[in-house]
Parts: sequence; structure tokens; C-alpha cells
Amino acid sequence: MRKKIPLIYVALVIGVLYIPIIVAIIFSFNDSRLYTTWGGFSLRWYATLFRDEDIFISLLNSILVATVSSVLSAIIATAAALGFRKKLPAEGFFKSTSMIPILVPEIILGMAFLVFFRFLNLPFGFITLVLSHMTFCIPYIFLQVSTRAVALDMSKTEAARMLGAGPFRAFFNITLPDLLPSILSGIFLAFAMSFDDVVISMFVVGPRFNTLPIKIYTQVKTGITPEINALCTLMLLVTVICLTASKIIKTRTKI
Amino acid sequence: MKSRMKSDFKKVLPLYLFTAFFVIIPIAYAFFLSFMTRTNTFSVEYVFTLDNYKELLKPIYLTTFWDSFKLAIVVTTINIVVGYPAGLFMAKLPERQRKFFFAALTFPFWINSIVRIASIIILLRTYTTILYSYFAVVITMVYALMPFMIYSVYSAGVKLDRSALEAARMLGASEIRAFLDITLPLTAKGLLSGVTLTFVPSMCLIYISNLLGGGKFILAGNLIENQLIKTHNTPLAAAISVVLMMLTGLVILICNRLEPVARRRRRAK
Amino acid sequence: MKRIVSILLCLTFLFSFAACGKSAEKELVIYTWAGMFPDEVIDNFEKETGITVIYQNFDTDENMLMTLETTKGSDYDLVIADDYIIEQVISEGLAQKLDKTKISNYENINPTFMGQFYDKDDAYTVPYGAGIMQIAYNPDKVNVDIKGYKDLFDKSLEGRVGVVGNNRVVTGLILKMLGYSMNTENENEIREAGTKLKELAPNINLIKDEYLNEDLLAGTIDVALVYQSQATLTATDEKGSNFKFVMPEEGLGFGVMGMFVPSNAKNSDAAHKFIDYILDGEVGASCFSWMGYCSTNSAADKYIDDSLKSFLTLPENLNTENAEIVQNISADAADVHEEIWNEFVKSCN
Repeated sequence: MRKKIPLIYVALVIGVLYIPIIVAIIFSFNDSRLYTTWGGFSLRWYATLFRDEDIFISLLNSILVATVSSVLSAIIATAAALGFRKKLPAEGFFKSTSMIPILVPEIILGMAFLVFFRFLNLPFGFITLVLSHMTFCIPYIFLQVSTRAVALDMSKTEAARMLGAGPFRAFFNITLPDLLPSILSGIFLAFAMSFDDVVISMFVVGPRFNTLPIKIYTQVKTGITPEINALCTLMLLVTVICLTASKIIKTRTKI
Repeated sequence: MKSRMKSDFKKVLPLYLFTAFFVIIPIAYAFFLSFMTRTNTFSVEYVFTLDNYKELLKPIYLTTFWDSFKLAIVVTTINIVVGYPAGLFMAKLPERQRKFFFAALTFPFWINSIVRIASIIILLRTYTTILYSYFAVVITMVYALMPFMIYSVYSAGVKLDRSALEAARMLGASEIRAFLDITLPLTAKGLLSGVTLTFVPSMCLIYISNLLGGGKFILAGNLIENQLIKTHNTPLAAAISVVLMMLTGLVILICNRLEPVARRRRRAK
Repeated sequence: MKRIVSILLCLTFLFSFAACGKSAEKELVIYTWAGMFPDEVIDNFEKETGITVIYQNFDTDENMLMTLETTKGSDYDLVIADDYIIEQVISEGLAQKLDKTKISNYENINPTFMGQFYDKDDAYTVPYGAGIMQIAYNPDKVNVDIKGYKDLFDKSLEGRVGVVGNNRVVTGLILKMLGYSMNTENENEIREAGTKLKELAPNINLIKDEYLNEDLLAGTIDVALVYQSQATLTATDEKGSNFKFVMPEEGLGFGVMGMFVPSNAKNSDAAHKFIDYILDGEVGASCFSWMGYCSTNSAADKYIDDSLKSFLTLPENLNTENAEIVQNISADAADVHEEIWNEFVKSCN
């Protein structure tokens, strides 16, 4: 029994994080428009959702922004994590300044980006969103990859190089497979952060390019309807299906 | 060797350039703005002044900062008490369970945070009487920031050398001793990075204070928002940001100083 | 590596096509808050004219102004926002003069809402909905017969009052109660209102701008100073049928929302067509019923359902003499407002 205590405790704490999510799912089936009252079971919000083109466009936009910024960030962060295995000039300075975006309150960054992008005369929309999301995606991925990169067995790479493999070959055949799990979990985290970002996006979003969180946030004035809950429930479902599928594929290929 | 260094430098160059351009310059510009003058027509005039910082010395700003600071301490403490053991325990679980819980930890981010907060409001309104109180703000912030704490501690805990712990236990060290001498010093880094990831944000989670506190609690972050959006006082907003950033820097500095202390403690043994 | 890059590029293009959709030729980009039009109205307009409506949202007037400044008045064809911000928009040259020959329904506008401070000659704007600040309360739980702002200070209401989260409106109404103008720039008057406001603090349980109606209906608060739309939403809910709504006797605070065409709009023709369409009586009636704001369209009044009429049209005996709109004030006065509001909020907890 005593051995089970850690497991129970972890399950309990993480389980509590899911209570609001369960409520959100239940309320997606609420017949009432109001959040405060339960008006009986209904699928009407799912029907409304499927008729709502705007929501789907902003969902696609969000996926696009999150994908592009987390993948680009993964490239920059992984390269840097590999480079930093050696002592380099200005290492400390850039290591710590690149962390600023996840440490400093978002509203400060949002404000800074707004004035800066306006100064650069960049068109507000996709580009500004990706650039600003990359600032906080990079540190999340870097943190994941760098510990792994430091622990990386250099001798394997060097052996490959000595046997005549080019630097790219060595990277793709040896280094990358070793780092991949940490890169992927970094991308996963960065994607989630970008996908849920409101504050920074609010300042850099463009006239023809809305992201989903912004769409939801601007609905606050007239009231969020259970339509959004329906959308979140479906997205959760898709995520669960994807994760399970990838798991099954993985175990299958192992056998 | 020289060329080796050059190739390593090439790898970090994108990070250097990106950080310089999109992190350092924008923040430097905000810093610059905090010393500029706001005109009576709500625009910014490039005339040097310290007025924005003087304005911050007014009691209303000082007390807001102080209250916000106290709230952050409360939230961070609860996060440590609940999240630190959770992260440690999680790191000790067998790999399968560990991976499961790690996924479970990032999963809530897939539900939009505003929707999650709206659900908490439903819960508190239906089952408790604490909606629109200090307590409601605190528990919601703890809820929002807990994954970051668990995540940081977990990352450090996974790397913990289990053999050292077992050796200590075999040599007869009590569980508490083993924890204080080995586990704590070795996971201090994760704990402290958890603190930096939760402390400053809890001074700025304005949606939570607005929605759960019934608008009665102003955080330092609210001051920025109000100055930026309602009063159009960009220089003052920048000045508040600068002060908050310095505070962030201070917290990080303290954490960085504490970490070697914790490590040294282990080495002394 | 090249393959990955090319796949990525393909994906990017795919997504950006999905995001952009149709060409910009016959598009009307409307920029306003979420939920300002019922879907049928937009759909029917698209059907009738063949113009595609792109509905973009902002959350606050200030953010709208910020984006208009950034885009120099292009990117959007029609904006709907609050009175005071329109004054700023016009003064910054971000709006264009309307061509009234293109708006055949122009005379449907209710004259009460014309010639307001933000556009004295009605050159740039057409009003779209108005709201009067009122007090809503649940008579089952409140033993005070509420007639005006002063009754909100009643000792029996401790911890049961909610107010909207707009400091200029709330402080402004206290200024009215004290007999001053909502828009005074006299620091002493504003500070006096601040002191009075602090006396209200023990009664306050909630300060927020959105859905106060939900809190009233759920019983988290029993009395609230609300926007018109929130009053309508409370009244039309079955649980709110017994609620009382009061036009405070000390004087009224109201606001008007206006439609305008940004200075460099790409499709101002379509914007004019849309304005004309909305000014139609029947269309207007369905819009105001949907939003819950007071009708600014005389032709629409007769189409509004009887159950909503008392909320969506101006009461005939309404004394508008002591009614005021929140206007822009000097930066110094705004700073004092901000300071006393922060003090008020702090004393509420």
C-alpha cells in the first residue's frame, strides 16, 4: 500500500486539473444559452458549431500558426542546443535572454511587440503571430532538448564521422534519432502554448487573420456560448484519437 | 579546433539573431518608452522624463504592487507544497505511468483557458459561496499554474541519480535525511525554475483576477492593461512593465543564487 | 531534408488558401464586437447583394482604435463602435464622410440620436443601437424601493450590489448624483465623487463589464447597475420575469453606438449598401431584438415584438434633459479618474 502512495497522489493532483474540463464537456451538451443554468441535454451547440464557418477558419489559422511556429522554433532550438555543448562567446547572455519570453508577463511582451512591429511596418497577421509565438516556443523546446543534447553520446557521432559519414548524414542517422523524443515533446508543449495564447496574440493579430483563442476572447462581451465547449470537446476527442493511434502504431511496429 | 568552434557557432547563430531581434530590441524599445513623456492628447512625445517612475511612487501603485506580491507568494507557496511532491513522485513512477502522466499534464492546454476558467466559475457558483472572493482567485491561479510547477520538478526529478539515493538508504540514512541530503539539492534547480515560472505570472494573470475576483482585486498586470488600454498612457504602462521585469529578474537572480547553495550543501557531506 | 521542407511549404500554402478563401473583389469587411447581428441578417444581405461579409471582431473600443491607427484606416470597410471612440477616430482622420445619396433609408434614423457630440453634423456616422444605464434588482430579495443611485448606498444591501466595470460610467453616474456633469474636468469634483464612491464599497460584491445579468439571475448579486442589453437579457429570462428595472431619478447616463466607414476602406460602396440595408425597419427590428439595445431606428420601432417594446424603444415620458453621454476628457482628468477608481476597487476587498 505504501508503495502506491506516490501513484495515488500524482493521480489525485493531476486528476483535479481535469475537473473543470469535465464540466466544460458536460456543458457542451447544455440546452441553455447561459453558463449558469443547466437546461437539459441537447446537441444543438454541435449543430450550431458545424454551421459556423468563422470558427473553423480561425481554428485552421490557429493550427497553422502553432504548427509553423513550433516547427521553426524546433529547428532553431535544436541547432542551438547542439551548438551549446561547446563553450561559446556570449553564451550566458543569449541563453538567459532567450528565456525572457516565458518568464516575463505576456502583457509586457504583447505591448513590446505591438510597438516594435508597428515600427517595422510589418503587416499584422500571420507573420507577426508566428514571430511573436516563436519567442516563447523556442525556450520551451530548448529546455527540453538541451538537457538531452548535453547527455548525448558524442563518441557515436565522432565514430560515424571517422567512418566517413558527412556531417548531415551523421546528424540525421545518429544525433536526430537520439534527440527526437525530446524534440517532439518540446514541439508538443510549444504547440499547445501557441494554440492557447490570448494575451500576446491580442496585440499582434491582423484584420483578416483571427486565431481561435482570440475569436473566443472577443466573444466574452456578448457571452461565450456552449458552442465553444462543443468545439473544445471535439478537439479533445481528436487529440485523444491521434495519441492512441500513434501509440498503437508504435507498439505494432515494435513487435 | 578553431573551425570546430566556428561550426558550433553557426548552430547557435539563428538563436542569437532571433533573440536579439525579437526579444531584446522590442524590450529595449519598451524600456526607452518608459522614459518618454505622454502628451495631453494621449500620444507620446520623445522628451526624457522620470515622471512615469515618480508616478509609481504614489501609494495606490505601491499598495497594488505589494498586494499583488503577497498574492504571488501565497499562490507560489501552495504550488510548491502541492506540486513539488507531485513532480517528484511522478519522476519516480515506472516509465509507462510516467509517460502517461506527462501527457496528462500537457493535455488540459488543449481546452482553451477561458473555457476552463468559465467552468471553474460554474463549479464555484454551484457548489460553494466563494465566487468573487480572494480565495476563489487564489485557487484558480494555483490551478492554472500547477502544471508548470509539476513539470519543472518532474524534469529535474527524472534526471535524479537513483543509485546515490539507494546507496544513502543502504548506509542507513533515514528517509528524511536522504531527502534533505540528496533529493532536495539535486531537484532544487527544477523547484526554483518552477518558482520563476509561477511567481511572476501570478502577478499578471489578469483574466483570473477579473473573472474570479469579481473585479475587486487589482494585480500589477491590471495596472499595465488599464494604462495601456483605458488611459492610453503608454509610457506609464512601459514603466510599470520595466518595474515588473526587474522584479522578475530579481526573482531569477535569487533562484540562481540559491541553487548553488543547495548543491554545495550536498557536496559538503 | 528537402522533402520535409517541400512538404512543409505545401502545407503552408494549403492552409493559407483555406484561410484566405474568396477574392477581395466583392467583400465587405465589418469590424465590430462579436454578436452584433443575427446570422439571418448577414445571410440575407449576402443573398440580396452577392457581397460576401467578413465579420471581424475586437474586444474593446480602444483595441479597435489601435488597429485602425496601425492599418491607417484601410483593411476594414465598416466599423461599429462606441460614441466616445468615434470622436477620436474622426479627429484622427480615420473615417470618411458618408454619401447620403446612397442611403435611401436615411430618414428612418430616430432624430433623438442624431447630432451627438462625436459627429455634430452627422457627416460620418449612422447610429446603430443605444443604451441607457439602469438599475436592475430582484424585489424578492431587496427590501428597498430603489428609485435612484442613492438607494444603492442603503446599508441593507451590504455585499449584494454589482456594477459595470467601466470606471468613467460608474464614477460619471456618481458625479450626476452629486449634481455635476459626467464629463467634468474639475479635479475637485472628480475627487469628491471618488470619496462618495468609496462609501459604496461595502455594498459591492461584483465589478465587471460582461454578463452581469447571469449573476443577477443566479443570485450572486441582487442589485446591479447594468447596461441596457444586460437589463433586456435579465428581463427576457424566465427567472428574471419579476425583476424590476429603474431609470435612476438623479439623471441618466447613456451611450450610442455608431457605424462609420474607415478613411481608406477598400469597398466603401458595399459599406453604404450595408448601412442602407440595416436602416430598413424590419431588418433593424430583428437586429435590435437580437442585441438587446435600444432602437435608434424610428421605422424599426413598430416591428419590435410587444414583449420587448418597453426595453428596446425609448419610453415616451422619458426625461432626456438630464441625460448625458460619457465623452473624452483631458488626459489629466482621465488620470484622476483612473486613480480614484483604483482606490475604490481596492477598498471593495
